[in-house]
Amino acid sequence: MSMREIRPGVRRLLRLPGRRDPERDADDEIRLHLALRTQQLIAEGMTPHEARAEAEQRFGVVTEERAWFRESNARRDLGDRVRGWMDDVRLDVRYACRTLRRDLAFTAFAVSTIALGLGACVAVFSLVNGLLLRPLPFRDASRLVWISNIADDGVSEWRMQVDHFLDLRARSRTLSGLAGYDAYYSVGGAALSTGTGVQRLTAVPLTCNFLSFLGVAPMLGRSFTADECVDGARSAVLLTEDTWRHRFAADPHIVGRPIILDGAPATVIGVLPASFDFPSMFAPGTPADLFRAFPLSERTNGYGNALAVIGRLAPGVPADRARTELVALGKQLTAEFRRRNSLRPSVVALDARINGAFRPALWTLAGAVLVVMLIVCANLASLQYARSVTRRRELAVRLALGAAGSRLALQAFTESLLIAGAGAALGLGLGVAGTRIIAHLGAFDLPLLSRVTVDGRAVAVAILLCLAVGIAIGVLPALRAPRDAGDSLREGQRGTAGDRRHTRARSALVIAEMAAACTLLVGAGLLLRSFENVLDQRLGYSPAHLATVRIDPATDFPDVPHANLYYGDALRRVRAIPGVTNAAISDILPFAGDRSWSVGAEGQVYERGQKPEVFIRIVSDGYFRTMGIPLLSGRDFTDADGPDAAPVVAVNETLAHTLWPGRDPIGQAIMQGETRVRVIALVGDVRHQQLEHPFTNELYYPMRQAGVSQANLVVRATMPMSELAPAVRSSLLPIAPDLPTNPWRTLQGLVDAVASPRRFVMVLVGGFAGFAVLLAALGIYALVSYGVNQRRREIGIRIALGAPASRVRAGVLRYTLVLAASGIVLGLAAALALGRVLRTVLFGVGPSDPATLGVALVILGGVALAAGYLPAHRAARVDPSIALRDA
Amino acid sequence: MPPPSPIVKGTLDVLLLKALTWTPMHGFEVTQWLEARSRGAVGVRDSALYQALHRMEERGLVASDWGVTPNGQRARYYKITKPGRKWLAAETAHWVRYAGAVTDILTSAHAKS
Repeated sequence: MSMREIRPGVRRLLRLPGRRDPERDADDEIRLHLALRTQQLIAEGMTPHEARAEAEQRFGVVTEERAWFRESNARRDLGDRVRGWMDDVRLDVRYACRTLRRDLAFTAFAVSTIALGLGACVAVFSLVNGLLLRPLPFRDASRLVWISNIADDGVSEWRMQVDHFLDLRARSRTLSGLAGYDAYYSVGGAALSTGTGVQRLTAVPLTCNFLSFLGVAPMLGRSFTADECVDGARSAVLLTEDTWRHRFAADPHIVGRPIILDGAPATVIGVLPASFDFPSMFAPGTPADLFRAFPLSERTNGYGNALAVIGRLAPGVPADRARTELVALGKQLTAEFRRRNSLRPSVVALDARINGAFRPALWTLAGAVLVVMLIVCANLASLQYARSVTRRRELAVRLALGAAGSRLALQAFTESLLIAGAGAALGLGLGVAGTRIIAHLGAFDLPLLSRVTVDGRAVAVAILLCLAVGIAIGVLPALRAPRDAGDSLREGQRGTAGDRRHTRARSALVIAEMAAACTLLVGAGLLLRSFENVLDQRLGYSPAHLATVRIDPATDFPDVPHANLYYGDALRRVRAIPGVTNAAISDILPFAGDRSWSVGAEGQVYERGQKPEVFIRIVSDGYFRTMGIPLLSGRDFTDADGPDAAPVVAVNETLAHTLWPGRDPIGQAIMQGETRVRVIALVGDVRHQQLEHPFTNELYYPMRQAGVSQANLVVRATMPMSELAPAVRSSLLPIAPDLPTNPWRTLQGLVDAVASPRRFVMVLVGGFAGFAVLLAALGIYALVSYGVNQRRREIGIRIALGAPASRVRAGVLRYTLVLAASGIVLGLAAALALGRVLRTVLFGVGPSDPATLGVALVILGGVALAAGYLPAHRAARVDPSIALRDA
Repeated sequence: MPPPSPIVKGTLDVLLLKALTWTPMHGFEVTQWLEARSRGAVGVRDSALYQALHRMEERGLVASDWGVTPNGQRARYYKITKPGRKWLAAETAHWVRYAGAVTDILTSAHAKS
């Protein structure tokens, strides 16, 4: 026998076609053996009959052996098939790599567009996943509800009074528990004395059960005990992990350590894990450094509507039933206790409360990024198809040589999957980088942002997308390749049915691309218009050159006159700094906190709950001037408006209109309990909650009469921040040696932070739209160029017959425009249909804004013309003689 | 020719692998090779040989694939794999040591006493 070592590839060629059958294999192996043995024995001199018997005897009992053989063969056969299949895959991959290397420009383009599209998908998915899809990091978070108290105006949200909270807890049957925190803690309101000075921290007062209610366990120490949650108890403090690490050097013996907080002794009882990120859920963009117990007492009940309340639905109770019960309980309690504030509970799922405001924007982003991915697929599908058609003859030859059609189809797929895989690998990297950038956008008050990472789910999405892309761009060539190849052999090279089919399929893809790009462009345009409208909102003050820093000292003043002395001196000193144009103090700045209560005009009788809700500011003299808030009539506060002078206030236009419609507010009075407070100034409205919100009632108290609990110094200065900060500090040092170091902020920064989510969505969707338009243009260009190339001969003949170049060019451009126009019409229709989805994120512009639609139309038409111009130009310059010779 | 002696248990695998180190063979070729080499001294039932080959294939010591004999018959060819060669080397060394020891004992023990 001279069967030498056979190379695997050759052996594969020798392998017989058709599916293998383990039973037949077993028979074959035995039969061959018996046949060869019989031959040998005959050669040695036996009769055929004897030889056969001898061979069988030597082999053993054939039937018995056969059963064993078959089993073993069946096992082996599976392995064989897998191995054979792997061989095929390996060959296909090698073949695909070779063709892709040959077509490097295409490969690079395909891989990078997929990478960009998929990277964007991964980043946006991570955002949606972290913010919307993943449950909140609390025990059984789906049963948690946010319970607020609808204000008398029926719209705004109030917090809840302590006694109402206690009664709800006692009476509700639909809730298994309630917990809350004091919503009016002030950022930087806690002064921690350390060896080197005083640091301002933010302390959040929690109800005693808050942490166990949410299923949060301290990583060190313990939570509050009942006797720490009563008035007069020694202050017990829980630190966040970050505070523990950075303010207490991660002291392992921190539990039980005494500290001085707000000038009083307190004890650290524990450290909370980093996973408990209170502000990211309840107060995005603000710090929370430590937690104190909030006693539920007569005293805290006097705070009014102070508690932010979270409830837990009892097992099996839907939120609707809890809502119905709580509304009824609210009515009952309001009627029962006339002296308390009114209670009108509203119940929403906690996660909806936390991320609800961002849902439309995030879904918009998700939709946009999917559209981009679709365009990427359409574009590459079209290009892949074109490539497969140019390789038609090669495929035809292979088909003729006996390659199975299914093998050719698989090969086409392998190539597409390879491209998609490479793009996905790169895209995942881009996605990780993009996600990291998004998660660290500091300016951005998005809740749960710290949770935005590329996790297993995001990777799974990337892999699924990769497969989907591979299939999407490979399916057309895979289905068509064998058939087109057959056509090509039958029909020769030109004007085949395959050609027409091919052009039709690609035209459809290009039109779809154009439509999708158009939809995105309209969406981006609408978002841009909305953003402009938001930025154009009159602020009511001029934030440029305004900076702010807190200057209240670590320890509270014994009384208002002492405070006045300090603040008066501080203002004088700061105003004397060269380069400072103006300075003033306010306790709450626009877009940096809010507080409201109800206020009535003197002599006006209000039904219970009908008094207007008014936002309150306590400001120093010169505040309006410093901020650039126009003083419309009356006079500014002065040093003379002190504790002993007659109480005065300033009102804004909206409040004046609410309280005294059509009358001059100056000289009118509001009632503050039994005290009559005279209005001395009418000032302009200020935007202070959201840029999109209308102006609201505002009331200004003079600092010298009302006193401030937190003093924000506002400085208008011509010098840069780097000089202003030390200058202010050194000017204040003589009168406030223990002044805590606080960060400076610009008022423009506060405005930008409010606009940043909108800017973010707009920039991303805009980027997606730009990318989409570019891809659509490339799609049109590729298709038109292909058409021109295919028809060179025809064009050459026409030119030879005297057709002017301009007419040839116009013909190609007309074809381009028909493609583009079909896409644009479809896209505009889709945009109009989808506009309703966008309505919630638009501002000051309708979803069918004609200007935006018009601009999108012009842009796309222009881009399409530009994309068609090059091939049109080339067509017009076809040299008839060459064109004819080539063909 | 004396009747072939029954094969020592465990040695069949080694012998088959040794056969396949020359060239890939189908089952009958292996029996031919074995009969030629041992000059008929080693008796193996043919089916036992196939069982051994299949068993070793499952262990990854040999691999098989269908091919065609020079006479155009469809046959399953077996070839030794890399792990097979390793195993063969180890077993051969072991066998040589063992057989040497046994031979020593059988041939010299009597002379000493």
